[in-house]
Amino acid sequence: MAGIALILEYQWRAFWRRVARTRQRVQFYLTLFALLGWAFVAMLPARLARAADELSAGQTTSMEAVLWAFYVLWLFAPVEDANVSLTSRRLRTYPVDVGRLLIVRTLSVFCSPVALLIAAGSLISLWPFLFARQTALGGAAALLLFASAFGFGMSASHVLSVGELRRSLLAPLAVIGVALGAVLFTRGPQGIEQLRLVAAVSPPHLVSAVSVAATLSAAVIPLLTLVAVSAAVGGLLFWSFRRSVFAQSDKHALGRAADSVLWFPGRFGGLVRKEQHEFRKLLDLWLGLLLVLAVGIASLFGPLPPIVRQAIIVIVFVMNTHVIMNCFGLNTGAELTRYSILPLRGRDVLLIKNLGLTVNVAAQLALLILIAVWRSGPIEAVAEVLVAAVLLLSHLAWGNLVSVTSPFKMQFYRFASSGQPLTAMAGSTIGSAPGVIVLFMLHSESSWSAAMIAAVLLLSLAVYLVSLHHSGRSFERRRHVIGERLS
Amino acid sequence: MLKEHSSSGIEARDVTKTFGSVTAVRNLNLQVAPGTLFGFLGPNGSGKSTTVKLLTGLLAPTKGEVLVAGHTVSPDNIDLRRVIGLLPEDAALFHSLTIWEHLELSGPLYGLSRQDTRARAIQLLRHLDLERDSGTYIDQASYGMRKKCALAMALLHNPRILFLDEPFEGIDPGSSRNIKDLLLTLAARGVTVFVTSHILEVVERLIEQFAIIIRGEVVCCQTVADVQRAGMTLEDVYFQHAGKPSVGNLAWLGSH
Repeated sequence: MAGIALILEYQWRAFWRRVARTRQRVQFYLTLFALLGWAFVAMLPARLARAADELSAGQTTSMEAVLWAFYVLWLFAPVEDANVSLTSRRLRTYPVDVGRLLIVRTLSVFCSPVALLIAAGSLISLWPFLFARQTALGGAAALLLFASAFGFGMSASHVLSVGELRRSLLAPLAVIGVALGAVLFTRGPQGIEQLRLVAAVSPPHLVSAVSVAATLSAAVIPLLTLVAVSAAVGGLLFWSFRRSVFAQSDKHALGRAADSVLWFPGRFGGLVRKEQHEFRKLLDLWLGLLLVLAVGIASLFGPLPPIVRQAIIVIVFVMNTHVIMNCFGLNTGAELTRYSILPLRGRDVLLIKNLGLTVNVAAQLALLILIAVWRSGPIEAVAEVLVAAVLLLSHLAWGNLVSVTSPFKMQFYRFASSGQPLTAMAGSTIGSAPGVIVLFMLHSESSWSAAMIAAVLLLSLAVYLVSLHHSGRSFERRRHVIGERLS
Repeated sequence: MLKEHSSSGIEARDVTKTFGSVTAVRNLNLQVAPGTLFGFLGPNGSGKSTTVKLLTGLLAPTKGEVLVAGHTVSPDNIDLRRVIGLLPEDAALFHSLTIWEHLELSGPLYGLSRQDTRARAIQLLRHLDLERDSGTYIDQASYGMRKKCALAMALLHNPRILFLDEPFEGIDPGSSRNIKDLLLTLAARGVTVFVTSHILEVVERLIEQFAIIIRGEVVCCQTVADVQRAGMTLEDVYFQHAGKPSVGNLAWLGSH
């Protein structure tokens, strides 16, 4: 255990040194702390008081909602491991076995103030169980729930880090999940009822069932179910961790076949291919694609109104905000040096990044446009292309500015991050506004609609070009600063 | 103001680079004639790589001016980048691309057609013994393979001036020999080669002229012929300026 303690000591030191050195990271944590802290201080006490009242009366609605919130937070807490310095793969060179490496990995997540805040909030949320019939069992079940959510989140991040598992396990599961969701959605109230049945065996429901059980024997079945789920998650965690630590990288990965047929014209073609290849390793784009896929499956059961598809386009862009607003986030300092060695101006580099993003966004929305042609005819499809074009231009215009002023390190096979939650919210609002205006004009009866849409499109194009030029100059001046922030 | 001309030489006058309170390069004055194989030597952290960045426009000097191949060096001088080839210290490669893809994307950016790029890339990879590994991802390539890939990228567009930061580091003897032959041929054809290296035995047989930089200041600049005429080796001159630590204090090492 001395070895683990030593590694963790240095892990802690390296983590906080890194935070202290990057002003942006400090800002990020402060903002997140403020948001989560506000939620905990302003909303949690009232929720917990209500949950305590309900639990004492044998009801579980409020407690279940609280448990669901923390369940989701614990699922995403392992994301913070991306910021640790002493990674498991690097620690493999030391005489430390896999079990101990897993302990180090698990505890390293708690270097992050976000994970600590979630842990503190979770412990506070156990208070209502004092008023439940089964105080001790309820509390223990809740702790088991948090641990299994955390373990599941960690397992997911391990699976994401192994190419073979991503392709053979995660991708099919995601598609099946989306297909099931879409089918339930098309069933209307009947589908919602079926979803409720699924929720009845969800882990948060099992915890509340344990806490309000009239007798000990009544608590046994939900408790054993929870224990079984946690044991399964534990097994999954150990297996996935082992796979991720010892995964052998394939020199000629399978993805090459698909890539080799992609070709982009012009002298920037090679770099555009590289950019689109890198951007598509971020989960945000895949989430958007899954949403479009869900709409596609729902469309098989009946036509959806055009406004739904157009709203989905806006949502997809909002989901892409972090990627668009941090287009250098996947680069290293060395890669930025290469951009400077190549005969490229700053605006060329940004244009290449923008084209790479455009290719991915086009792939995301292609199915939606095809459905529009099939279900509503080519005119409606053109309207959707217009909405997408305006959204793309406005998001890129804002995204280029933020990308050069506030770059933030991102990791492959994770969700993108633009660093500042408030900047991201502002970005998605500003970027989406012109698209929403076009959407509004498309459905208005005004005779000026066409002219207004054309004006918004031209204005978005002009703003984009100005942003490209300005951000390009800024990139040339700030390349070293960007490189340092991404290191 | 330095006068721009159409030579393939390098000229630096009173170049200083500071990072906050640290002066990485102080009052650098250099003149490298076209077609010269120039060695820039010095211990770790002495300012060699910073100098390469200053000479190639990757860094702007705090003071002073640089003229390379007739171009005033500045970070936004695109024309300069077209005529120089640079192998940077960290190779500066893209981790998600293969070696072949690096060359494939580089050529068109320098104005080469795809056919020319492919033809040249095949020849360069063959010369550098990288042909079999051309499909390897950079993040899975060995250190030497990365160096060779970056070198091939530096040569692909047929530059007038080559800047090579530690080109022999991590390179196998066969490839090292090929690179030396190539550099000698290039210099004979009028290409200026500015090379930094720690491997003194290798550069001594390669370069014609050299400078030694210690703690950001050039302390010596002469020709290899002068050194040999004085009955010395490059290593002698180097340690005269850089000093040589004794192993006496490490007596505990190996005392099992």
